[in-house]
Amino acid sequence: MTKPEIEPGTAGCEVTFQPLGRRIVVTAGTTLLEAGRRAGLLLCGGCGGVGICGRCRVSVSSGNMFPPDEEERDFLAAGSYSPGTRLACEARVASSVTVEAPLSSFPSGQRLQVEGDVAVTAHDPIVKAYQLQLCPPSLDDSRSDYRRVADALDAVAGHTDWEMLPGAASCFSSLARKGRWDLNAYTRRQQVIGFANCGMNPVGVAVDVGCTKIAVYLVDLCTGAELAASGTPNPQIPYGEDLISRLVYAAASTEKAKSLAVMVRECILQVCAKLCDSSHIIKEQIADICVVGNTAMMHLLLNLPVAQLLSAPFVASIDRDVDIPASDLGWQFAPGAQVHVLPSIGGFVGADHVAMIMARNIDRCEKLTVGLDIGTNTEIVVRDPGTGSFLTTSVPSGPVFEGGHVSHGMRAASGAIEKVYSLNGNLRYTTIDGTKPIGICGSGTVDLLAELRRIRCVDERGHLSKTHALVESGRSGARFLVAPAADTGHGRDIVLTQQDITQVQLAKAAIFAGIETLLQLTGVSPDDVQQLVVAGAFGSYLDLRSAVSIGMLPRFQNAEYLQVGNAAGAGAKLALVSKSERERARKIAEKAKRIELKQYAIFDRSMARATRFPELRSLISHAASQLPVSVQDEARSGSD
Amino acid sequence: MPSLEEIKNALAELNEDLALQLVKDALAAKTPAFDVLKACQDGMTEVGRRFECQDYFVSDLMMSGEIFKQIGAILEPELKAGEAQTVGKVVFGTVKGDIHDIGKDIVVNMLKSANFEVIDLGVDVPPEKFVAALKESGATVLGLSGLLTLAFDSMKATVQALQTAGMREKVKVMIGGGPVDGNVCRVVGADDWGADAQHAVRLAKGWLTSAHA
Amino acid sequence: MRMKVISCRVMIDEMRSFLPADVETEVLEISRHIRPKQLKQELQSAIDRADGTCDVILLGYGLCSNAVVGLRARKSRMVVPKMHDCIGVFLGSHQAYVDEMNREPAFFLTQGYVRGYLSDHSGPADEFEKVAQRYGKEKAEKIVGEMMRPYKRLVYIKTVQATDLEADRQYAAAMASKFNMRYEEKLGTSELLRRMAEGKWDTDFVVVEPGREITLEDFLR
Repeated sequence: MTKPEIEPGTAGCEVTFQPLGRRIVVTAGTTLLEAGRRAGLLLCGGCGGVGICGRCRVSVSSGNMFPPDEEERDFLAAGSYSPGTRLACEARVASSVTVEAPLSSFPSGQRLQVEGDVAVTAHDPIVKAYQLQLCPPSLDDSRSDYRRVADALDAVAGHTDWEMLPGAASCFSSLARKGRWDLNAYTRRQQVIGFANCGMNPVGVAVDVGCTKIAVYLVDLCTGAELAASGTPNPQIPYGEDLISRLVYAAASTEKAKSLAVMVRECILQVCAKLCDSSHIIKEQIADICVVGNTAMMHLLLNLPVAQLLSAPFVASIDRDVDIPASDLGWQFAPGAQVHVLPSIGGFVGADHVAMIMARNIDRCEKLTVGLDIGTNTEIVVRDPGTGSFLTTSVPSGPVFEGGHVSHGMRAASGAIEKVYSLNGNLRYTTIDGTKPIGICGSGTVDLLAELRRIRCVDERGHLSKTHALVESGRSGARFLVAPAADTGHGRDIVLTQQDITQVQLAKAAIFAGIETLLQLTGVSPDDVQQLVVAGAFGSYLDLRSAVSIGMLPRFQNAEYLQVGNAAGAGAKLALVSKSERERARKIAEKAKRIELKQYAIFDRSMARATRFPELRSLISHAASQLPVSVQDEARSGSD
Repeated sequence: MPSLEEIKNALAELNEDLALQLVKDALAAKTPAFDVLKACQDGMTEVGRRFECQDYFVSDLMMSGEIFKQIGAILEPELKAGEAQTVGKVVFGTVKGDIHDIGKDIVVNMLKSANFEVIDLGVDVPPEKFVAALKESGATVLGLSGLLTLAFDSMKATVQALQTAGMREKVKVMIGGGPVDGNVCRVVGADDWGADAQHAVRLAKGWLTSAHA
Repeated sequence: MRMKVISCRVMIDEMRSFLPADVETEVLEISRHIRPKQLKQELQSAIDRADGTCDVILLGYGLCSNAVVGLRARKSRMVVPKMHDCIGVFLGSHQAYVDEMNREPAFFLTQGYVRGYLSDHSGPADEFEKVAQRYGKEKAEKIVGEMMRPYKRLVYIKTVQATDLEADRQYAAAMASKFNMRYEEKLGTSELLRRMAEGKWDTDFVVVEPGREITLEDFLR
């Protein structure tokens, strides 16, 4: 690829959105959609910025933009739009510009949640705190500590017959007898589980144990507010990069299984300690913990038997939700702190998927929704509110999106090419941390293929064109030069080979076919889909436009595409603070039907077709339906 | 009268019809059954050699085993005819975790032909079963077969089971099979090892006849 | 650390996926495993060629019917997985292999096997064809049938690194059907190969210093 004429990352372009006068400075080459997002504006109303609906039209009244590419040009030519009209999802700034954005793009309320943070709605925590003002014992009031507390609770809580855990009693004694007879009593149902000084609310911890990263959130159980959050790499990685390898390791011996359990438990404990420190919380305030993760991660955390997960018919040990004392996992928090693990749906479709469904309201919303969590295994859910059909499945998309199977593939780390785009007819890339490239990560690979398709360097079958200037024929077939040795961090060419393309085709086909099959089993057509939700870490960095254009995600004409970040973590937080949400999770696990795709011939057929790349289609076909008849005819004759 | 050389070659060439015919003709011409057996064994050795130098494939080995089995059936009554008493009892089997029986079957047949009473426990045999069979039969020779190196652990476990049962001193243990050699024998704790079927028979003979001596 | 790889075809694809593209590899066919003495000689020759041209030689093998016993490099180190054979490698541990065989002995296949059998026609189905051509179908049924008779199940070990599983499944299922075996799948791992490629040589590996011969004891636990 050629070196950029305007170095992205250097020039600052100020984008002014009228009529509100919102301003934001972005680097040259940024799309107006992205600029709008950063300025707090939602310039897309239809597909979510994926390049399908054509409804993100804005008018650029001053400044320079990079010229539109073929798709955008065709679209604009077909309609009678005023000069300066551009599609925000495609238009890239070349200098400071002023943009007229429609009033509908200025948001109302909470829509701009980018981080998967869903506002906590239900709030009926299992752990409640009561402020007690007690009198110390005296000669004429020699009630036991328990009786003293129970009587006080009877008065404020409005119900009687309290139990007190021995650990809580110790806690009480040491706090009270330091002279503080005004205390916060933490309770769970009829049980007193801990005490703290007044003003110290009980705190909960939500954990999403991912294969690569563990996310931990500290939440105030009284207010529901998130106090702190942190992520850390999963310490089990050296014992298996993929989750099957870890299960194999654990299945080898009880010591190995125990060691994996202990290391993840200790890791979570350490993160909790750090979060507590930074929020001025003491660990005795942690009274409730809610954990989600895929089936394998939960089995390893709880040290459940795993050998049976490795052989047909691949059964889980426990799929129901689990409640155990935190001390069982080696976590010394409030004396009665409990851990709640969400239920899983079945097979490898686990608690994290349930949590994602909850967080994004997929089980309740009125829209026909497809939900995805993309990784080495991609979990897919399709729910039809009309019929109540609720299907889930897991497809093995393979390690392509984590950098595997691709010659220069790598995980998303410093030096990885993460984004590839066209500017002025040239391909450009950006790397994580802006350092010299040393490889391509998943999102970069998807972008690269989208661009190679766009410039017709790769045909529908996935073959690299041997006549393209940047394609060389090597010993082992054709290769596309992504970055020459002189530009890279390790002094070697970074290339995309014909085999690499095949691997991507297989991975994307699995996801596409999984979605298509579930839709067919649901009895709906792609046009019926109203929402496509992409969750998960990789999903956040994936450019959905590229994903649609290479045929990894279906082109849903009437759907909004959303990237929601760590929705599993958000779901864990919901369940943390609410009994009813836990009940909801149980219902989701029960109602959602897990589909074993292998049994369906339609999946195989779909897979075979889905390896191909979609036709390069401009937006005219969709926009055409909104145009008056005469212009439609013109458009049809002009289209590819 | 067919020469022993011809019989050996027919087998080495995997000429089933010819080999069987020559054997029958040889017996009819009063050639001693043991000599015919030896010729066949030499033929098998030749097959093994050809396999090692890549002239023959696995299926050729199998074919030779097939032919040999049939020859063995023809020779058996002749071989037994001369002897009144059995030489002794041998317990034989392929150890736990291993299911290969072809080599074992060849040895078992040769032992039977040499007038041993063989208790063949089959394949995938756990140590306890070997111990029980030895106790029940009173046999003093144990043959353990295995084609996979995984079998080494099972062989070792079997020898240890004998130890635990207090029988190790009374029983002679031989091991055999593809990857078995002197090193393996030492590690496993066996008394000796058979490089091939004839060797196994010689070992058994040696142990049982010296016991009677 | 300069590395060279001498590997059986069965693990080479997965090994290559964990190594930089410029690492030299020498690959021997799967069918060598039925002639371990030959394999030993070929491996020693390959080691002699690589010896001294790199810091460490990674051997994509296990004990492999004692074929690796006695191998020696004079100047380079050698690393080999401490497994009886490739099945142990792909099942992830010796214990898993033993457990699986104790449960019910099986005929195993992996992606490497399927590809190897397809490319050099050395699988049981190919044996069947060869025998059928020479001695007729009936004999083939008898002989190759004999060979495969003890196996009641065929287990295909699936790893994350494997690609295009459908093709493998079809091959494996066809083979199972031909030889009257139940078809089963098991989830396995290439983690051992990853660790070998990344230099994380823990107790699952035999690390041989220059000048030392590999021994049988190196593989026994």
